[in-house]
Amino acid sequence: MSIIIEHLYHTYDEGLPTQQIALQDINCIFDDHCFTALIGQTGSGKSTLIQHLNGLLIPTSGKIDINSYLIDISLIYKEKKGQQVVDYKAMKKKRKAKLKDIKSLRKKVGIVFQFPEYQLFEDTVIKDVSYGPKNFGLSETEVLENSKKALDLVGIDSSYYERTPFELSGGEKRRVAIAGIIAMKPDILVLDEPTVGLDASGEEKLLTLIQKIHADGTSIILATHDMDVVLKYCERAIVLDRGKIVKESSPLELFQDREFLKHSSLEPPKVFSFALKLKDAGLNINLSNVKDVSSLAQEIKRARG
Amino acid sequence: MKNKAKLSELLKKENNIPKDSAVYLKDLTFSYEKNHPILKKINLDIKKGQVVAFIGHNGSGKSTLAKLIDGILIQDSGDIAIFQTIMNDNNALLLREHIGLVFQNPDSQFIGATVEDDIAFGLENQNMSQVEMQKRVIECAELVGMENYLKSEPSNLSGGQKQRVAIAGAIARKPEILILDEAGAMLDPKGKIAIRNIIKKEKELNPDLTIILITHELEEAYDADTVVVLSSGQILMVDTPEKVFANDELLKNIGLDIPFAHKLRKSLISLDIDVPEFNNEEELLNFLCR
Repeated sequence: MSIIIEHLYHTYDEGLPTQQIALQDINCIFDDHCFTALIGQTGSGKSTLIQHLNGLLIPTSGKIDINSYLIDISLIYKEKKGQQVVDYKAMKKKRKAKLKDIKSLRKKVGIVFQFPEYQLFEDTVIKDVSYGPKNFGLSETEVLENSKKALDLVGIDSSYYERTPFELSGGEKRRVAIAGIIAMKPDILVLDEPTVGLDASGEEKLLTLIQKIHADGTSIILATHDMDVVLKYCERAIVLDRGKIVKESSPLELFQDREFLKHSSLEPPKVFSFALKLKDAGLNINLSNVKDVSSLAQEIKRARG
Repeated sequence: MKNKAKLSELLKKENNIPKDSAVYLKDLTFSYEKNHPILKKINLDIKKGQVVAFIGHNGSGKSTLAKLIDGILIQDSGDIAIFQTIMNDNNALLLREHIGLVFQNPDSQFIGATVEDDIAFGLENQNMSQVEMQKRVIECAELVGMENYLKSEPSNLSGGQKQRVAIAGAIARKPEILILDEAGAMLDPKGKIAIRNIIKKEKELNPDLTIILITHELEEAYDADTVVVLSSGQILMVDTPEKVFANDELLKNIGLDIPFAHKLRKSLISLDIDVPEFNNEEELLNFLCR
């Protein structure tokens, strides 16, 4: 289950004076079973890109292939060179109409937006989690089974099923909201800043959960500001800046690219900078083993003999 | 003559407050809503020339405390004394002359139409000549590295640049007490480091300056002589950064994470590597590379 994006452009308010180019010539591949970080400052286009992954936004131009569900603007509308396009609205409508069976796409790609707990709405936990799978036409028993499994995975036990989600703690609400997405059994799980606003222990629990979902065979795309998370959990990192991909590499390579970092506002995680300093000072640190504080401590122990 | 007598009465120093005290808080209590005190009987003596960091999670009362010290808010009960003078309705404005304050949001603290106007704003009622004023503005702009932007409009600057201008404006009046209320919180990591370095530089130029840092980023608190841990409106601990950070259970309980270097030291000790206590990351680095 992979996503291939080619020459993707997205312009907001196309044709209006407020027109704004949000994404420019995006080319990238999210491999099957990937764990990829999307990095970029506010306004870099991360959220715009994410919304393309399940058809919430339609590209202004370009192509997205989500496991052979093809969104290809050139097939939908051929803009002749030199010809002035006047009716943007009609153009947009046309693009949307061409997206057939969007439900099948939404089933493949589950998106957990920022502060997903704001999207809880049913009066019990179990109903809220069941809402998604129900809409994908599963039988009642299947729905219930999926929902229970998802809740179990996020660590919410059966005593919570009949409780109202609004009276849970912040961390619990978020886990319920995530269960609602997992219950749809997406092949690709996209999470936009899932740990923002959680305290240190809540953050760790959630990331361990995401790791587990990944191990069970789901591809993960994680938009985050937190470089410690990128280093510890992600296999690849895509850096967006003002609507363009400016770097795509492993976290290890990204955090060692001093030339690139100098010109960006990214800062490697503390643990990695410290490991680099140790290495510069002559300690034989193997950077690829450094993921967090405890693995750095082990590397130091090994290097000092 | 009469005026002078009045002034000295307004700024009367209390003898029972220590002479070397810059900010003295006694039983300070404050609430926004009745029966929901944000600060409960705070007692603290901040000495002249000290760098003090207040740490605590959101809602612990840190920012409220800063506003009380600057006389922006008025306490329900208890006393605040600035350089031995107890603050009251009549002298709050006079006492505020001693204090420079920088807030978290760079967008909410601009007055001038250009960077130089903004830095000069606080100097305008200080009876200063034009030449002197200009000199001071340039001096401060240089300190924060904004000397090439004097004619720029503040709204066109980046967040980090705005915050640097705000600091320049706060130190232009040469306050004896500088309060930074999460001054780096909205900046990216590089912006944060730049702000920390500016503060360090200013402190070197002006060793008598008393600095109050309000932060929930513990790395910042490393720069302080004393760390005050606030939780639910009460002081849990007042000690050196080393002692406070060694107490990681307490910090964890109130939702704060200990700084990286302390975490690493703990981790190394658990692997039977004997690491002595240290004062900063450099010392740890030097020790490990020995």
